[in-house]
Amino acid sequence: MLEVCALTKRFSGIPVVEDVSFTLQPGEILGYVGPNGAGKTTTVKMIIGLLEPSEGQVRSQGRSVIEDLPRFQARIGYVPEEPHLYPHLSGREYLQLAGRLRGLPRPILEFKIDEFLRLFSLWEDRHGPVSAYSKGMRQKILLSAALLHNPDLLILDEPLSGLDVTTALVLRELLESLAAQGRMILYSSHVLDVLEKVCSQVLILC
Amino acid sequence: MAHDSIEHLRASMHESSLEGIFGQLTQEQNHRGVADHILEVMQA
Repeated sequence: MLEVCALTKRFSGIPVVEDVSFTLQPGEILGYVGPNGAGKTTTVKMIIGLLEPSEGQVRSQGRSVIEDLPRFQARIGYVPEEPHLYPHLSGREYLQLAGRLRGLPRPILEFKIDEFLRLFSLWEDRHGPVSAYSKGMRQKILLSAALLHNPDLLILDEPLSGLDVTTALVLRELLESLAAQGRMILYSSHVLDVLEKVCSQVLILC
Repeated sequence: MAHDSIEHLRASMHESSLEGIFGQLTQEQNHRGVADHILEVMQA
């Protein structure tokens, strides 16, 4: 179980996220929704350890994640809102980099990369530079990178952004299967009809 | 190609959602099957 306890973030004394608390249970897909500027992405960045909270903490299995942040981060698959990728790398090279940073053995990594490139219809473009990819193609690379190490906690920030209809439908099916296996999914978005279809619980920032 | 009101497309194709209409028209792959395959690869 993931517990977010009274998370607050201030920049120059100005609160961007204030006193946000929730729990995420195994098998749950929690929709995280709020108006622009409500602090959705800031909350996500605090949970995964990219931003230090001004107050509050994140707990996993009863312990503060700060006690062993690398171990907690190893369990997370994160898809950021903006598909910023190294533009000079090919899609394949980016996934190799992500997999090596996750410590995956090379034969398994190469197998997974080949399969993901095919399943996400990126095979023909696998050697092209990411800078030449469409937004949807970059999003597919980010999704693949987030899934490579078989995470039990997925944190998705507007994951359907730029995706074609087919891939969006596949992703929805995948999230249902992952939840059925007991994985935890935090799904941040401002698209309510998607949240209604995907999520089992919802948290509305206001 | 299909170009019509969503309401008429729903009626003529006996589908309650735009998602279902899209699936029929494009005869897209089995989404569940692809998702299952992705899951298998994740766990490999």
